[in-house]
Amino acid sequence: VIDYTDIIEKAKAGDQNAFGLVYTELYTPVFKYIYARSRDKELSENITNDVFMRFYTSIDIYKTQKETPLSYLFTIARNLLINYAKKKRPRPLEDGELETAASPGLNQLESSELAGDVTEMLEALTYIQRDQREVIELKYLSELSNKEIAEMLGKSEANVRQLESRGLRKLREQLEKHV
Amino acid sequence: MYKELQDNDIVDLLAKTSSELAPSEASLSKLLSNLEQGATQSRGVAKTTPIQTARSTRTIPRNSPYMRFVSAFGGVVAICFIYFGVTGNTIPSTTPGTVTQNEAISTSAELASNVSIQATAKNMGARSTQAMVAKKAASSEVTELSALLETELAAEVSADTSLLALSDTL
Repeated sequence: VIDYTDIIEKAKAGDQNAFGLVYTELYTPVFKYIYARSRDKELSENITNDVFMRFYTSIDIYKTQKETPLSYLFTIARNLLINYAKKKRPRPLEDGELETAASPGLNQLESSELAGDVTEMLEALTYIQRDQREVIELKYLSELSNKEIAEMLGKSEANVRQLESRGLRKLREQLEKHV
Repeated sequence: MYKELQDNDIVDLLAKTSSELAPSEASLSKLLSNLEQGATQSRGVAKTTPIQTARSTRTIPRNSPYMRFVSAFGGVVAICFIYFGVTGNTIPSTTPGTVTQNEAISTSAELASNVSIQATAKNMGARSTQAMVAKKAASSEVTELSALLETELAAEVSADTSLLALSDTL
């Protein structure tokens, strides 16, 4: 686990390389987290870009003692995803769309850029408890350590392991149920 | 397909999902360039906001109150132009607060006296500089009047002298 305290202080002082290091190290986990939720690659690129832009512009007010950069970035990512979901208001169904809407998931599977089993996995994740889903996504998709997840969610590592274990079991049940 | 799933299968599928979600190199470079642009903007380079763009490209409807006022004002200006052009009338050159020569003469008694410029200006409803100009003009008028009076007085004195001389002779 990288200690970002000095790196962030350098970035605050205007060191572009220091910010570049944060960007290089943390871009992928943030992107994967957003992509898993949005399932739209281009949108995820834009939102991830926005996350780092916001971090860059607010780096002076960011306090390393309060939370880790990863936690800070994920908080921004979550807020942006919520904002995006709010903007994407549902529209009334047009003729011929009713049949498609009656079979949820099918339309998404056909239009998704991702492989079928991957899309099914992402779909199954939406059916498990929120805190379990968060832990599974952060650990297996964003590839963070239990320590990083514990810091980010404000839980103990033991609690994280418990949520992970329950989440995997629920996920397996969900996948078995849908086939 | 997933009827006899094991925990390891789930973990493998999650690993596959994670690799599928990985960003491409192209997007990384694109984002880096965007970040550079963002850095330039945050350093103070002027950027047009969507609101500014909307304001700069906004068109005013022809039937809006503003456009109706502009049309009406243009009509009034045109009518005035035609009126003064046809009648030959002119707008008086004096404006409120300007002192004419006549006014200066009428106040010459006061101006010729020792009343201060400020007090005179106040009485005339004019500025001090205007009162000063008027006072100078009035002073010259008074000088001329005095000369005329002196001439007339001299003539009268002369006439009186002539009459006295005639009476003496008689």
